[in-house]
Amino acid sequence: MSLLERHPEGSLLADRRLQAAAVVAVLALAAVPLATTEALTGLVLTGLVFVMLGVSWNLLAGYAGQISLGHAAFFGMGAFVAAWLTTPSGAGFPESLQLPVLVAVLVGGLASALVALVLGGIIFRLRGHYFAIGTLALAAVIELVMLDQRSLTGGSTGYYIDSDLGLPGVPVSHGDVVFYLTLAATVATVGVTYSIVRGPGGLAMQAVHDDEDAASSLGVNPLKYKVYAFVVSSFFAGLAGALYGHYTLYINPESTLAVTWTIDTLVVVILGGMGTFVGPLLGAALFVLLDKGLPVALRTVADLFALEGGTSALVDSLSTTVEGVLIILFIIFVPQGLYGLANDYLVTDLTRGGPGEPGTPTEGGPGSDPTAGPEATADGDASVPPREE
Amino acid sequence: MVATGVAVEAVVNGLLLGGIYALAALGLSLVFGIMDVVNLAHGHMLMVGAYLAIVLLAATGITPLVGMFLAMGVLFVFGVALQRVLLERVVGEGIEQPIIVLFGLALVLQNVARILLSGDARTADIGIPRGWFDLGFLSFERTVTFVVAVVLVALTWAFLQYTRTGQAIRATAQNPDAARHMGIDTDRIYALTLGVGTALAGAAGALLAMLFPITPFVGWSYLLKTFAVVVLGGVGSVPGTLVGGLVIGVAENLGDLYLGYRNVVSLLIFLVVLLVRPQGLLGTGGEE
Amino acid sequence: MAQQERSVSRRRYLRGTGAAGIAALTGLAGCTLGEDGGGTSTGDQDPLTIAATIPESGRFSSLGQDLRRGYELGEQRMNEELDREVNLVVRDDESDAQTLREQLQAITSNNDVDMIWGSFSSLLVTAGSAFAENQELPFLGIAFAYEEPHRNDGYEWTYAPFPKSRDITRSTLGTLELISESERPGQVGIWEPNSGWGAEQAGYWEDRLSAEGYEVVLRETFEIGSEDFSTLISRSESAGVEVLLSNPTPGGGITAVNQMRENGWAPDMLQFVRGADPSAWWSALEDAGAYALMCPGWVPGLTGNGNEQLRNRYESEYDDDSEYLAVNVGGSYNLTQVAQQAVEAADSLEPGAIQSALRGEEFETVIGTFSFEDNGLPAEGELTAPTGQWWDGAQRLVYPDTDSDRALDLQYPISPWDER
Repeated sequence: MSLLERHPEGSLLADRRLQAAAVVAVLALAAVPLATTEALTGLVLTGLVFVMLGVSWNLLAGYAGQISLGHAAFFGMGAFVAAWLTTPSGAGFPESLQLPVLVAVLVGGLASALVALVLGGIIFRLRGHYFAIGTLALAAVIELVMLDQRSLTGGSTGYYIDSDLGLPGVPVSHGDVVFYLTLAATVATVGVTYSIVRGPGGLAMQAVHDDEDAASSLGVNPLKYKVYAFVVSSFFAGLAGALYGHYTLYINPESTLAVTWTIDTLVVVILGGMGTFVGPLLGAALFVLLDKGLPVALRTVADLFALEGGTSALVDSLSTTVEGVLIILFIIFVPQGLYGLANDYLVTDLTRGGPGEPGTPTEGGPGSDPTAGPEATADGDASVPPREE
Repeated sequence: MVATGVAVEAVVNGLLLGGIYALAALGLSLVFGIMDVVNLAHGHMLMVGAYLAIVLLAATGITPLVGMFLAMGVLFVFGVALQRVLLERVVGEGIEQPIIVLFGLALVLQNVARILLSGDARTADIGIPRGWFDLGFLSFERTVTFVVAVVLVALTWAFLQYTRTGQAIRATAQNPDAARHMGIDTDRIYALTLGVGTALAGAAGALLAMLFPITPFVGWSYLLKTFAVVVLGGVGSVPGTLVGGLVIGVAENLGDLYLGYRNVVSLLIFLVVLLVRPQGLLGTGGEE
Repeated sequence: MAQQERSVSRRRYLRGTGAAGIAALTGLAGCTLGEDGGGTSTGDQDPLTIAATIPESGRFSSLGQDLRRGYELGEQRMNEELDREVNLVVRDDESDAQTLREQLQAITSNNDVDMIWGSFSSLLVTAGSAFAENQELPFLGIAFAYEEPHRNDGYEWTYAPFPKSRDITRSTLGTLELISESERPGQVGIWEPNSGWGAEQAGYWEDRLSAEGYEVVLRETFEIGSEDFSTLISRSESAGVEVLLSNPTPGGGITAVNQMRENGWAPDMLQFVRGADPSAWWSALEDAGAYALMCPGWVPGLTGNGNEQLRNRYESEYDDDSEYLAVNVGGSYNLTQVAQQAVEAADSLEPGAIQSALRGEEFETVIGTFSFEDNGLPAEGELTAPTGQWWDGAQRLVYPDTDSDRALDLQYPISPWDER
């Protein structure tokens, strides 16, 4: 923050570079449904969903310092609320309730935000470890209750979403349209979060994170900013869930609300760099490569050697094990994540070379992914500086 | 509508189950109380202990009641190594880092178990002749595991209360600086504490394997259940953990009997206690 | 239809660019739009491409191999008997609905799929069905007794060659009638898993058995992931349950029987639909698993309609001469027979043509002879659900009666634990 304040013009320049890079990234992503297969579009869409989850969780955990292990619950609630609105008959609601997808996913996000607002006042009585484990238990309760309410959620049979956004007469499928919606939502998530962490709210959150009592004595109301972060974070998690549900057209309390989503979110943020702005973007890209790419690669190898049966389970466990090992190694040895790694090289280069040569050193590193690469390139010194312990 | 006899059975069965819950939660409680670390991989260590007993039984026919000691030994070493190799590096760097390291470890344990043993549920037979005593409706397995669990809880209490090492552990828990000043090697104490904590998880796992099916994925639900016990009993309190375990065991069975819910009941008790009285019903700890 | 054509040819074109797409993801290539697309020209006898998922890992993993074998034997037979090439693409769905959908998506976007075969259990089959309905591709699914989705979700492409809740209930009654009237039990207990199918099946059981003069003395729900049945066991004992009916998951069923043994209680007759279906039942329980009845769609002991060919094919393919085949091999093989007969009748791979064949034809398979209602249910009353019993390590047919040596006379009542 102070860095930016001291060099306003520098940040402006960086901002322009950042904007240009972001536009390039978004355009490249927009080409995905046109240029690739449906499966690959789905893969990139999943990556975008993880960007939303990571960026939103990072706001709460990385900036405001509240390690919530209940992110999956808000993702899942957004998915279900949106599903009820586009497909009311599945839950026995009157057809008249039906809303267009665009409105429904927004309401899904808002519903998650509302739940966070209501719960925030209560759950923030807990601090530190208690907050972490309390949110884990809260998510488990929400999952069990949703699973139990099968007239609303379909229970263990799940809930089918009836929606077809495919455009007649043009080869644009339902998945493609949801992809563009998700892309727009991702841009919104990144933009809104960026403006929050760069604004006074972000400063206050960091103050709360660093020392709650000190922040309090400086006139920052810790509860207010914790709830603020929680609500915003839950909104985007809910939005991500709503969009993902409308992509898969099928949601299930056991998988859509499962702790897996929380784990994956953590992996995204830790790999990318917790408390850094660009971190989750890099993390999501690496995560999708690890989580989806690694199994594909291993499966291809298995197919080559004509290995049969059970291999895919093995491959899947193997790649999750790798993720676990990576987050342990990263948090101990590279706590600033990929962003930190990139920053170590980038910042020095940029300082030396000035803004005239953006993005020289990104090849080979995390920047080789179109999801987040260009932003990483230009963002070296523009984002909020990594939080120091 | 529910016969009295059935209700009595539910309560007694709940007490028997609660004894094992207490043992399962004890390690979590001690590590939290003494080291101020929430072992998010506690449930997964319990799972590892269960699998050790199951595999030993399958390979050699040795009863899990003996396999339990193998599980304790292996997990003790594992706990000490974990502290020395990983956790020592992140202690004192805020709460995020230990939480995330242990979260990652849970992920690794779960998936390694899945690779080695597939995702299928496994159970262990008690491996000793049934029926040499008959307590009416009481399940032989549940009675035996209850007795073993309560004995282990009592032994742990005696260890902390009456041995020199136990006293050193308690001194470290109260004030690490003062303990260091008195010549206690607190690093060693922490490693020992984590070792004991994970060994207790292993013992509980071996006992639970005789009652319930074990899959690589049971870690999370046991983590929440044992944490509920810890919160109820108060962090770091051995008698509190025992009472907490018994309460959760009975509450689950009564919830099942009268409401048709088992898991939701223990989680709700957990959340309510956490929010209303974070120091536990019996404990003296506090927020943070 | 024009829409359909276009999307097919797009898929075809995309198949070639799939690999390049992966490269795009890693940033090695940004754009794969090229001019070289064009689908290959199609002859009259297009190859038939079938997408399928099976649970090779996760909670239903014990079924994966049996389903795979049934499908593979079917693929082999179809390749011999149909005058077109048949390609079956099978993936692991990890017993997870979300994964299942991703896998089907991946298969259909890399292949020109004509038909989809389902997985196991109503959870996974409805997930596959939702995908197929969306893509407007014919879908066949077994191990799917749940009827409600057929009626409520407007199925047009989903067909279930499998006994449904109402057929299972008739079969339960038929099995009870095998017992002489003087010994026949009268008090029924139902453990209802907290799921849509659980409620549907429990409702059928309660209605039909009550109507036939049985007394339902207990009907209790339990959480689907529950691992502690001790309370249900003591309640059943206290209510005097003689016939215990339930449809738990396989893992839940095994746990329940283990806990009955621990508690020293057993009913006189036990039917665990789906819970006792997989081979894991016996490997986990051994003798404690004996007597259990199930309704897995197909059971060794059935005769005619290709049962002998199934057995011969199985023996020559898998080097396994066990006397009793795993039940789900038969169930999934039955599905492949329906697929073959539908394609033969349609004489085309047009989804609509296969759909009309499925709606109009009568099918003869190893589980029986039946046709479909328009919503994909096997027509009411046509399919007699075979009920099997676990005995000596194998599942054997007890109802309906056949003259096969592999069938078994119903073993009743269950002997007390201390006499085993």
